[in-house]
Amino acid sequence: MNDVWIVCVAEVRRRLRSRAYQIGVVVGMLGIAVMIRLPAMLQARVAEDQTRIAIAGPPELTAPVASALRGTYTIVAVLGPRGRPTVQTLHRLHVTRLLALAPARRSFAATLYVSSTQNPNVASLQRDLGPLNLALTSNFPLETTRRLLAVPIAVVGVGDTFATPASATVAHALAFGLLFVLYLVVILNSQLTLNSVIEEKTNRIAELLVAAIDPLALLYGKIGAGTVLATVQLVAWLLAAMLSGVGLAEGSAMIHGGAALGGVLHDAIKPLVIPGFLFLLFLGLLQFSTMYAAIGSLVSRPEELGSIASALILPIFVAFVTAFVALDAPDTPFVVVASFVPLIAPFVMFVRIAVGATPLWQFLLSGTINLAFLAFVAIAAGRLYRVGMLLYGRPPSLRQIWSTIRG
Amino acid sequence: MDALVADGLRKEFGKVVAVRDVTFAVAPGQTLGLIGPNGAGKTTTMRMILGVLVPDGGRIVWQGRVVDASMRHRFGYLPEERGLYGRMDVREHVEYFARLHGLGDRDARRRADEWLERLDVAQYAARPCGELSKGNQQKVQIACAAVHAPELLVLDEPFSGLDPVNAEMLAGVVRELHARGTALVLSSHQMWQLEQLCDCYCIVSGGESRATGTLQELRRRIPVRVLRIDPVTDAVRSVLAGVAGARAVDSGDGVAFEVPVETDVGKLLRRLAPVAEIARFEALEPSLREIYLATVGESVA
Repeated sequence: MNDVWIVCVAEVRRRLRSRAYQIGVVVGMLGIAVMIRLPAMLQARVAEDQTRIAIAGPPELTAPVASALRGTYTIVAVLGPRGRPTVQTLHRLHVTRLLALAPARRSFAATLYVSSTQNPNVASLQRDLGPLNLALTSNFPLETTRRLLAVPIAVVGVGDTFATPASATVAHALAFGLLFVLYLVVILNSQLTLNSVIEEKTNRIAELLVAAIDPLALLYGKIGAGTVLATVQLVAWLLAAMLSGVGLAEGSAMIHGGAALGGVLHDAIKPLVIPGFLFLLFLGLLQFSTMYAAIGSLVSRPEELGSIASALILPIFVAFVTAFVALDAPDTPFVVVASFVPLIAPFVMFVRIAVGATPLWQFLLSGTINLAFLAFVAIAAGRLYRVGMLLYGRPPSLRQIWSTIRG
Repeated sequence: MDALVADGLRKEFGKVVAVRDVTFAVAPGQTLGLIGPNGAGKTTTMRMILGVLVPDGGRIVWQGRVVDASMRHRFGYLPEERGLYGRMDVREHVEYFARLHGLGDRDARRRADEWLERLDVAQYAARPCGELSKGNQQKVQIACAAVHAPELLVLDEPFSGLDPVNAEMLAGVVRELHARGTALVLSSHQMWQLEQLCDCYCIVSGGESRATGTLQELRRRIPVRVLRIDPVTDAVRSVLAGVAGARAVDSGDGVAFEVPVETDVGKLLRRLAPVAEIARFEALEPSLREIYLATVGESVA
């Protein structure tokens, strides 16, 4: 145990000095801050573009239309009747849309000229102008038509997942963000463990080390170091996320019809999510880094790594893609099955517990299966590592690897 | 009691038998030279001694006990192909290996500093190993192998790649450790260096130990002695022709004579003196190199 500790401490020091780790932590912090801030900034910018509008037409139409749209839109200019505008006209007016009105049988006809047809957002205009159109056509007062067209629809969740749409949105956003963190922590730290093993093999330090201590102590020391550094990384990233999110949280303290943020968060973050995230993160990290270390021990030269890179990336890629599917459909049979499969489960099960109605027994069963798999990987990796660290020259065949794993 | 005993060691890698039957013993504080051609099984034997490889047959005994993992901390190793962590500081590197061999933090640091001082690399203690010259890196590797004052130090081709100054420095370290009572096993192709450093030898060829013992004991295996006589006149040839089993051989720098080991050299000199004017008469004991060549050649034949 003492040997594992000595290796772990030395490994932590060594990796803390590595550029890959330092850059990973800092870039990750910046990336998370950008990921949190950027959507809000872009959304604000897009929303601003879409709510600025110019109106053109006879005054008897532009006046009531401007009045109907005011509140939702910023009316930048009210122009007289005119033909089809050019894009330069829109640029000159600093708008992306111009609504041209013309009289038509007791009401009006509207044409929306947009600088890009990609997202014209006509539905919103239709919604806002609908009461005016009905009022002009039917001679009902505008207030009456507004009341008639605003059909009250209450949204009530009947499943046991989230009580409100706001909670569901927050839960999905959180699951999405934490899934990224989970993925990055696992892949970066497993990669660092792999690099460390390959460095020792190619530098020929391996022989010196295994002459001094049991190769298993070396392996577990490395994996322990990876876990410690992943924790440091995780804390740094979560700190960055919290600091970046403070302003946003305050800004959106009231979400969807006045629901208090505290209540929304309480509903969105189920009790199992945080402990489940930590458990699954370390489970995934241990599974992948143990596997990567064993595979790294079979590599004699860094250039050999290219041939096995796909084998290393494939499971993590499949896990990530499946987890994305799970964000939208957390309880479909395919996703449920995937949430038990080792290597994939840490990602998929996390999404399921964050956004789905996952029974506790499924989480526990998946955890047990994956812990058993981890034990198998640890034993198999130990056997491979013990042999692999002194293996130079031609890489072993799959048959030789299997026979080594079987002991 | 011998400190280290390798008894009938065998190691196979698939269908290849790397070590077939290697046996030798090292007395406490002695230095053993493990000699053999490339691929003879020396490195595999050393790896088995250190527990890096598990023997398929035979046993290794240290101070009367079969070697197990718990004894590894008491051994030191300098492999033939060796490396360092490029980004780790020199002192930290040596300390790390000291700690891996069971030393506490304080002891590890003190001993690391002592060895860096001893090997004249103390000024680089705070520099990353990767920034050192090759010669200084080799010194750091030596410090890593010896920092924990091992009871047994195994050195695999320690002189390969060293310049004469560093080779002499390493030889000094070996002598110092020998004087402190450390048992040493070292392999080298530099026979003259081994002759200076070793108390006993094991000649390995084809995975088997062909000869073991001190230089004197090994010499007894060679049935002839070489006589250098100068000048070689007809009279000298005539006297030597009368010695049973004597024959002229080319010694590289002239003619020499091989005579059976039991030949009374003094008597031969007394017979030569009246008939020839002898400027040089020298009876040479076989060198380690000659013994090695004879033994390995014999085994190959």
